[in-house]
Amino acid sequence: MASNQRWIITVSTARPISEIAADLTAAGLQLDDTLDQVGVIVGTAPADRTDRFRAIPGVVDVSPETQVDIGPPDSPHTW
Amino acid sequence: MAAKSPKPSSGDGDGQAGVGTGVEELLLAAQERGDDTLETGRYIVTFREGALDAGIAALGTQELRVADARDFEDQALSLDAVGDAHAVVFPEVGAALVGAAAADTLGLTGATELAADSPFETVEPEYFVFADIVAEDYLRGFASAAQTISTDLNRAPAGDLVEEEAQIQVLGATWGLIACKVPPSRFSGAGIKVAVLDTGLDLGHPDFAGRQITSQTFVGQPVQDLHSHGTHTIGTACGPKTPPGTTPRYGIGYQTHIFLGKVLTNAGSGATGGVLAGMNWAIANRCPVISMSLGASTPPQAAYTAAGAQALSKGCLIVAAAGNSGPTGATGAPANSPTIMAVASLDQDLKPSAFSSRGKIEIAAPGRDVFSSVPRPTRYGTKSGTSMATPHVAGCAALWAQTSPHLRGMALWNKLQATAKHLPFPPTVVGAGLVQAP
Repeated sequence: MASNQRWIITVSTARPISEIAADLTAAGLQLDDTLDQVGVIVGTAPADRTDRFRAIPGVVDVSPETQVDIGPPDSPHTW
Repeated sequence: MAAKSPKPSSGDGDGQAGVGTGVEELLLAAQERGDDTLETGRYIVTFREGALDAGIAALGTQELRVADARDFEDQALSLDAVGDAHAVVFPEVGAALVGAAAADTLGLTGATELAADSPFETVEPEYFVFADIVAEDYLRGFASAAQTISTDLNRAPAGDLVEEEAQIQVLGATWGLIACKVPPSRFSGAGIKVAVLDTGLDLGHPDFAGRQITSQTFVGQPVQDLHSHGTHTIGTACGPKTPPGTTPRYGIGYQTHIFLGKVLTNAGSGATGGVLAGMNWAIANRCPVISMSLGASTPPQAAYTAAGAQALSKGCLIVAAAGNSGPTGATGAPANSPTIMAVASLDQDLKPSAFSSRGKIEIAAPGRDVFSSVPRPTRYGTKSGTSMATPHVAGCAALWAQTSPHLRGMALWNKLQATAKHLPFPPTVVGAGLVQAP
């Protein structure tokens, strides 16, 4: 079984985000954050579950979480 | 081509005034006016929610003819098919395009103060839109035409000219603020919530004593900035008007309400989940300006694009740093999302910074050798990057937002681009040009 990782799931505003979150949970997502203002659900699951997530009505995109890095403290040059 | 009413209009008369006037004619008219604002002379009005019919009725007063996209098959309306109509209504988007003559008759201009019971939500000038290369050549031609006319008339034109600028000497401000025309501005950002999503702020920094600050962490660390990046970007966007002693003014929105979202750790790193949570918080608090001096070199990300769209729909404008990948590097995420305003960096000679990423760029701002606040005990420092350019745009956006409650979301985006100082570089490098304060 694939190891757990974080997923950024973009959802449609056409369906209540709470309903989509419930369906995602039932499909195996551990819900970390429901961001209703931006229409994004953040959660943790093995990669082999993502096809199931994508099949849920209202799910627009499922992408792995990426890192942001602006460089070390007190650096004169940044992002 | 006048499919609906082939007969020339009477009253205000010629086809120039109708809404169906061709783009070439509009361009010629603008050049004859010596107008370098890129305004077409027409106006875009949006209707208040539920006020579509009332809006159409208002446009149709005083014998003005209104075309409606619903009268065309699949609402596929072409402007050369509206004949002598004075205005065209697009019900699906809740907006109308109003010709110059009708705008004049109705007293609609970009500066119009709309009554509370008006069916119109906003009135904004329509602007010319150009493909990249055309725009550059066109602007250059336009600038030189304006210069010639100005010389002929022996007076300063409405737009910016080099000679005029050389005379503006403001002591005690950073080069960046001077370039953005911040010191002469009478606006302070008072009452405008500005969210800065970064590494936090040195809450004990004396330059922020007494300021209205709302803070939230999204990385599990206190918002106190132990990195320095966040204190620097907040300094530019929201710093004081008169810092102590001989320190030059480095802050723009000195009376803004600072929304401090810590989405990057004290090591300068974070993840999209936390960044999106910060955006969610800023939008929930209806911050008209959200500044993001961060990113990653990835293609556009769906979540950022969705967040930007939600922000605009709620009256919030997100500005983000394009990145420092240099001339061969493309704009990173989130700035590369179409719903987020990408900011490029300029050097003090107003040329693009060598490090500034290219591609999807909306606007440019000072980003090289930017002086601003850093955490105690150092207190002040100089940094370079599109990260430093971004809060210049955020600060100026806050000043513009203060000028009118209608300048929110996309209207604010358009205003920043329309008022930017044109620069002789491609839009893929500097976008609309150098951001300017109102």
